Amino acid sequence: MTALLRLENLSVTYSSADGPVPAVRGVTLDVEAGSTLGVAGESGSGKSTLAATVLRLTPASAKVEGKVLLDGEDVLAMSFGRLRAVRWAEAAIIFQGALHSLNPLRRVGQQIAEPVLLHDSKVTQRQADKRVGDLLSQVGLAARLASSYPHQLSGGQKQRIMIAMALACKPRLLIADEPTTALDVMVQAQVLDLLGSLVRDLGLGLVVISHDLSVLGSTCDRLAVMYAGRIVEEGPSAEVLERSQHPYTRALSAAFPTIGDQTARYAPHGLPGDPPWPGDLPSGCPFHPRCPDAMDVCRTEDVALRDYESHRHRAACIHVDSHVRGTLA
Amino acid sequence: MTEPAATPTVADVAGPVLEARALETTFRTRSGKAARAVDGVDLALGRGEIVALVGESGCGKTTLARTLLGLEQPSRGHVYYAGKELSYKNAGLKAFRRKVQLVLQDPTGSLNPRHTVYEAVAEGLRVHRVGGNEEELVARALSRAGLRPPERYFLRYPHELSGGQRQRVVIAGALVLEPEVLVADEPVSSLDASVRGEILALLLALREDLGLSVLVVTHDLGLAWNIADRIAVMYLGRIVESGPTEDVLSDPQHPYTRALLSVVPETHHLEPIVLSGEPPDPTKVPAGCRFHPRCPALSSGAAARAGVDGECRTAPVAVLPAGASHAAACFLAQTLSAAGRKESTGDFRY
Repeated sequence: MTALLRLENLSVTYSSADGPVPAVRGVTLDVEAGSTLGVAGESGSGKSTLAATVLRLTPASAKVEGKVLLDGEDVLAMSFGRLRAVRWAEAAIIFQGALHSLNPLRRVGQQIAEPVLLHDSKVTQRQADKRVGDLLSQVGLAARLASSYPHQLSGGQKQRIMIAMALACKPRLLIADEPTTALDVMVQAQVLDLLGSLVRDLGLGLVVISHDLSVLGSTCDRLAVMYAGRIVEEGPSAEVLERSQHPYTRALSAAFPTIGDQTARYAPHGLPGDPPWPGDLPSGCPFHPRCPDAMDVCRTEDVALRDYESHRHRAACIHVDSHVRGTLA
Repeated sequence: MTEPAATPTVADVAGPVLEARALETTFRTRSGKAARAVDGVDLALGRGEIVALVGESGCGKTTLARTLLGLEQPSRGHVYYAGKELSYKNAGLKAFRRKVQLVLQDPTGSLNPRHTVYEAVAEGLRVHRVGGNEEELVARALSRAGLRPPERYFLRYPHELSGGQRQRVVIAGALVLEPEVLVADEPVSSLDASVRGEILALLLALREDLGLSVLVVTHDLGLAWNIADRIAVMYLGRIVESGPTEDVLSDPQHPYTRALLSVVPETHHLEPIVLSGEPPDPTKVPAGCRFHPRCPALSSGAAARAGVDGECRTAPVAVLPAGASHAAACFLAQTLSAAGRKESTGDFRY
């Protein structure tokens, strides 16, 4: 069976005045229909570049290598006409900062109808309006909101509008880049519930990108953790969170404490240092300057993803196959 | 639960450093309606205490913080600093603002991109005409904020620093005036996850080393669990529950706190109670308990079984006292606790 989305050894390099900046360095991933993949990472980890590459939205100056297979068809090799048809209709992206991507001068209903009308010239305005009403109810909003302007809506409502817009052309793959970052916990829970029900009811494939591992853990079937343009750990969500193999994953999950966990009281867990600048990566394992478990060899030797117990859970750390994890934690 | 604090804490004995009494801050909307952003709040911040003010956007927590900082003038009630009523005359306000410093959410937005780190930190000294060796004071503030050696950062510009370093510069800019209180509005929400813990640890260390009091305004309950001694949960202009962090978060009494806590991904043991709708409009505060239109305990009939549903809809809820003990502004919680309920979790079903 072909995966809905398959990234094969994908690399993206931006060019800058200071030389090439490798934002994504050899990422391989699968997303099945009806399942949710969470991509976790901090600023500069390459997660948003990854999202943009799926629909070939990276700037022309960026060098993209590898394959992006959408239902087996390589997005990177498509003609522009085919690409236009694929965008929105096969895969759609809900961008980070979506709250500011709505046009303030147009009613939200018109904005949702726009991709519907553009993608099928046979659709009449009346049919498009009906579709807008259906989409709004699908995302839990009253159809009358179609005539509102963005400033009349709350943050949670605007985020739902963005989701309705992404669903306009019935895509099979949805990519949500930080869909809940600017939202309150209660509204965040509402939006995550909505995304989860779309996956269940419509059989969508969903990729959620976030820096908040705990948000991803509660919504996604699988998790991939990115650091410095690479996946450093990947596996079923519960496995990755509860039996993290990469020290970076452990640090990320400790950053958001479990309420009630006495060890986190008055002891916020951080990670010394800052994420590396992609244009100037450390030698060896790029995580070694911040790694609590680093050994001498980590300075010089980079480690590829390795299986931990099974092929379903992998991590890129030298300690993974040493089978003495308990002593290192 | 309705009585004021029975057991005075250390903070009470010494007297709170910053206090709000019956505070109200009202804005006029363009259509002439009154938006009651802060609608009757008693809140005290003890010396060396870290208090988290928690709530959703639009609940009035930022307005409350701004009023406590003297940036908004209350329409009723008063702010007290070290026991003295805050004066809104220029000189009094300026002295106050030196002692109570604000740290904002987005360090990139709060730093002037054309000012070096040195200038950013020294600005407060110049505004307040602080004497002494400026360079020494700036260096000390930077190193207290964890930027060491400080001289290395003097001539850097904000764009040359990482997000975490920028937030440290903002904190150094506050520390340079040797304040007694920091008011931090979402101090880590724009930072990377791995940097977040470092900044929170810095706030704890500043309390430890300098005896600073910190009011953290946040919607992040995990942050409160990480660093706060006490927590105050705000809903639509009022504090609806307050008390020691461990009591409030492990045994929440107010249905709103329970709902909020149940949807935080960092709690695994609670069945999620997702409230529908958005926080209501401060121009239309509902009668009775202001939470009643969204209250799961009312809609499930739990309030009716306890015989308080009438009160929920019509009776005004008393303002929670600023004391340190655990209390909730909820008729149901108060009735159940008066009935001798020791543990709330068992019979508080909805």
